[in-house]
Amino acid sequence: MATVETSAGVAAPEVRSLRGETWRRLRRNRMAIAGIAIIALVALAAIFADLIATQPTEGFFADQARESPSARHWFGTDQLGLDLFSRVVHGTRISLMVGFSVVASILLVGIVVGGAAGYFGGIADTLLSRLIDVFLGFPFLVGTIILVTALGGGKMAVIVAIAFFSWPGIARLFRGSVISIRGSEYVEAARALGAGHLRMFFRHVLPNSVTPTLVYAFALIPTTIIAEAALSFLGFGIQNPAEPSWGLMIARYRPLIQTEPHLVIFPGMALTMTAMGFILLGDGLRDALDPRLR
Amino acid sequence: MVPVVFGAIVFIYIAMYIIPGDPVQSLVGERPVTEEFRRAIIDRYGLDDPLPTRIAKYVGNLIHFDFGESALSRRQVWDIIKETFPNTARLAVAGTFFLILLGIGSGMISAVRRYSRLDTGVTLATIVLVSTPVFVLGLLLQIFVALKLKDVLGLPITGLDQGLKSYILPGFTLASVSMAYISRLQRTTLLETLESDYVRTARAKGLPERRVIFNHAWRNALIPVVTYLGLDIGTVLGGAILTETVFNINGVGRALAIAISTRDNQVVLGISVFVVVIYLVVNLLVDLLYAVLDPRIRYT
Repeated sequence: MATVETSAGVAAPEVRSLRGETWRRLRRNRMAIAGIAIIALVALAAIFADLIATQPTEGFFADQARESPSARHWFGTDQLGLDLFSRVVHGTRISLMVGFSVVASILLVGIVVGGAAGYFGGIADTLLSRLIDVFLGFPFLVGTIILVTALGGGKMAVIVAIAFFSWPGIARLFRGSVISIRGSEYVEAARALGAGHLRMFFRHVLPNSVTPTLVYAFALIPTTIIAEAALSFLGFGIQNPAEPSWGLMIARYRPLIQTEPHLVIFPGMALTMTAMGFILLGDGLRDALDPRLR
Repeated sequence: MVPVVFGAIVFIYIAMYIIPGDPVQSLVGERPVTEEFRRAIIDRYGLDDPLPTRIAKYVGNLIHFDFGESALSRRQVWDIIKETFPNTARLAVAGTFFLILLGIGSGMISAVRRYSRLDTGVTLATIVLVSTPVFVLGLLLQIFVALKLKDVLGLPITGLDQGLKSYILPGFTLASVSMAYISRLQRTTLLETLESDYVRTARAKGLPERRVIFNHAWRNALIPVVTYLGLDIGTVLGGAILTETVFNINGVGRALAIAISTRDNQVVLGISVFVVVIYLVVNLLVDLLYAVLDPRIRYT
C-alpha cells in the first residue's frame, strides 16, 4: 500500500483494502449475519452428527413405528421406527457434501476453461462460447435427470450430473471478466516486462477478475443443495433408502402426508433453512462487493 | 436454435448409450428372452447401428415430424406429447397469472412504498419463497392449505379436474421461485427509473402520481423483467416436472420423468426435443416482445 501524502491540516483518508471494506459492509448487513448463523448451525450439526443424533438412522424397529414427536423422538419416527431427528441431522452431511463438492469442482473447471478462452481468444474461444450456449440452452433439471440416470444414480452420480450442467455458467462469467481485464494497461505493462503466460494469468489477470465468479459460485451452493434434494425426491438421485438424503426422505414419507405430515415437514424445513442460510449470505456478499445493486 | 436442438439429441443419445445393462432385457423385465425375439427387437429399433447412424436416422425422421414410438406402450411419442402438453400449458398459464399478479405487483408496491413495513414484508416473503424448494412448497401447501383448510377453501389436493380452483395451488407452486426473483427485480428497476430525469419532468409538469408511475416509470422498468422471464423458462420447465409430480398432473414434465425412470428412450428423446424447442421458441418471442416494449430496438 502506498503511503498517503497529506498537507498540513488535512486528515489522511483512511486506506482500506477491498477485502476489509467488504467485510465491514457484510458485518452491517443483518440478513447476512443471520445467514452466517444458520450456516454455522448446519455445519456444526454435520460435524457433530454422531454426538447430537445418537439413534440409528437405518434398520427396522417395529415397536416404535410412526410415533408422533415426543421428548424421546423430537421429530417423531417413520414407518420403520427410525428416529426422524437423527435422520434429519445426518442429512446435513449429504447436503453440504454435495453442495461443496459440486461448487469446488465447477469453480476449477469453469476458471480453467473460461480463463483459457478469455485469455487466449481466437477460434478456441468461439467454439467454447458456442458449446456453452448449447449447455445453457438445455433445461437444467431435465439434463441432470437424464445424466444422473445414465450414471446409475447415487451420491457420486448426483455430484457429476449437477456439476456437468453448472460449470458453463461459471466459465461464461469468468471469461467475460478476463476479457475485460486483458486489455488493461497494467497487464500490458507486465507483458512488456516479459512476463510469461502462466505468471501473467495467475499474478495479474486472475486476482483482479475472479471476485464476481466467486460470488456467483457461492450462490450456486443453495441451488445445488436444492437440486440434489429434487433429484432424490423424484427418484433419480440418491436411491439407497438407508442414506438420509432429505429429498429421498420426503419422497418416502409423502404417502403418509394425511396422517403424519410432520414426517414431510421436518426434512422440508431443514432443507429450506439450509438453503436460506446460504442464500442470505450469498446476497450479502454480492451487496457488499457491489453496493450499487442494493 | 438448430445447434442447441442437435446438441440435445446427441447428448441424450450418448447418455442412453452409456446406461449400463442390456436394452432388450430392460424392455421385457425379468423374463427370459429368446434369440429370435432379441433379434427382432434389435432390428426394429436399430440397436446394432453405430451411434452416428442412429442419430442421423432419428434426425431424418424428426424432419418428417416422426418422433418414434414408445417401447413400452407402443404409442406414438407425438400422441403422448399431444395428450400431456395441454395440461402443462394450462398449468403454465396459471403460473404466469400468479407471476404477473403477485411477482410484478409486489415488486411495484415495494418500490413505490420503499422502506415501508410493506416493503420489508415483501422482501422477507421473497427470501422465504426463494429458499423453499418447489416440491417442498407444493407439499406444504397440500398439508397446510388443501388438508388443514379443506372445509374452508375446499381446494383439491391433487389433479386438475375440479375446474379453476384446482389450478390455484399448483399454479402458485410452479410460479413460486420465479415470482420472488421477479418481485426483487421489479423493485430494483422501478426504483432506478423513479429517480431518472424524465420521471422528474413528468412530476414537474403536474401529472398525477398514478400516471407518472404507470405510463412513464413502469413501462421502462418492465424491460429487464421481461428479459428475465424469457431466461427463466428453463427453471419453469424444471419446476413443471416437480409440480406435476407433487400434484399428480398428467403433464409433459411428469411424462418425461416417468419415461426416464422406465428407460423408455424414444419417449425421453421426443419429449426432450419438444421441450428444448419450446424453450427456444419462447426465448425468440421474448426477443420480439422487446421491440414492443422498447421502441429504440428495431429488428430489420
